[in-house]
Amino acid sequence: MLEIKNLHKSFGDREILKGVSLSLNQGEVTTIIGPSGTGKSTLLRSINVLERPEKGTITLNNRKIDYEALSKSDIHYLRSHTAMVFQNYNLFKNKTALENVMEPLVYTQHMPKPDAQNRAVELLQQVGLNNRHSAYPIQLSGGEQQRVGIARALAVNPTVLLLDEPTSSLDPELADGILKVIQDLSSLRIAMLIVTHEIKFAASISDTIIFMSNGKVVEAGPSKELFRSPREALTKNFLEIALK
Amino acid sequence: MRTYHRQENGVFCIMLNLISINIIIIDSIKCACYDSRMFALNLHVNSLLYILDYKYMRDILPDLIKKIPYTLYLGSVAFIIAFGLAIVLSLLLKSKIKPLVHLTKIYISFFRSTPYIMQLFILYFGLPQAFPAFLIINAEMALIISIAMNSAAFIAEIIRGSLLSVEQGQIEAGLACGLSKYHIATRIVIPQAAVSAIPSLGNSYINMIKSTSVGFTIGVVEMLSQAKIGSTITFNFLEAYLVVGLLYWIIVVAINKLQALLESHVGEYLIK
Repeated sequence: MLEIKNLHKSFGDREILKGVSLSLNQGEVTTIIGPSGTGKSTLLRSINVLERPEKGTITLNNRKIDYEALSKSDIHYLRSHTAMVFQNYNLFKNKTALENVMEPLVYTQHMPKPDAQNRAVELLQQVGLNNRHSAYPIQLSGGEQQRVGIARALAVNPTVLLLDEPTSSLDPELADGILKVIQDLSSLRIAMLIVTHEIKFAASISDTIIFMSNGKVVEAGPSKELFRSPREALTKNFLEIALK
Repeated sequence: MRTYHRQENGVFCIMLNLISINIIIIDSIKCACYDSRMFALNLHVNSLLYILDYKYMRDILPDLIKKIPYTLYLGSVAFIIAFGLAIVLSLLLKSKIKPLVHLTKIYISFFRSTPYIMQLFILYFGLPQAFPAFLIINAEMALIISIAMNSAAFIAEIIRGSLLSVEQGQIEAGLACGLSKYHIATRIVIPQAAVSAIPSLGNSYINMIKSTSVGFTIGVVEMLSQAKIGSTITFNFLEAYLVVGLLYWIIVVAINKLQALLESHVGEYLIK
């Protein structure tokens, strides 16, 4: 359903992605793990073209897009079929929690406002924010903000949900709450691509684990298998340190 | 030889000569100012303590208050033009055509670095010498245009700064949600930029209101000119200018109040 082939991305003369390929199946949860600065976030941000790779192709729902010849409609297609949850939440500061979720419903999904409002309330309840709908982001705790962030991403009705270190800005207690929300989402059968440093969480939620290092996919495989018996020495070392 | 005349406040008439260098204007202003100051001093020389003529102040008040709408009109029209011009300038600064960017930078640098009154005189007295077509511009237009062109240079920088103050993450979130660039601009970026721009824009507006008083130098009868005309007859300079100062003060305090209201309205989302 989502397939990326041979993705290359450089910042200046620093090559961040050195030919990354991966594929995702409908409703599957895939987690990318690996040391900091290996291009995990860049890979995620390439999928919705927040970063523009120089080379590579992406196939989403049978539409094949070449990054070397990106058209406006390609970009719009990728952005309206994916949604992103950010590390720093990035909620629209001038909109309330409810308005944040309504924004993509009204302006991307073209839903009438009353319907959008009902749907937004539903989504907020789904992520465990039952009140405070009219609070502005600044008035919400980090955990509450990230819940709104997830609800806003779901509002796009994405084929693939991209989560870029969704719990890295939260203390462990709040992070657990968010991880639980993400866990619950897996029952919705939306494909999820997660970048995280929470290795135990990754092990429990993922169907597939991708281990990246230095701009390349070192190893990818079913979660249980990869954690039990990693094939590559690099993966083994990383997991040993991460699971200490 | 080409000469033309402009009437100044009914006090004196200046003849500008294209061939001879026109020192006359400077000299006549100097003389007029010096003479009237000495004369006024003689009038009041008997009293050691200057006693304000409150009756005079009361008497001129209605005439001066009548000029408030005109002052506000001059300042506001200039502000609207300046704001439009500033948007164009800040767009030009982001243009991909390099010569346009350089020209815009020169424009901003010139208008920020030279005295406003010089810019007004170039527009009103200077340019018509080289291009007679500029004679179409009357004193009021010259005042409004020069204030607008001057302030636009400052406001362009305010707009640029306020747009930069909006976090990149806000735009990225909009893009990731599939919002169009238009919606990101109108619903996310501009409302947030406005909050940081309003205090500086308020300052610009206040400055522009006050700048209209320079209109007296080219014969625009606004509040200050009105006071000057009246007091030249009776020599109650202190009274006249104190009243004008007080009226400006009241105007600016009122504008500040409105600005605070506007700020709390658009910046509602910043209150914890």
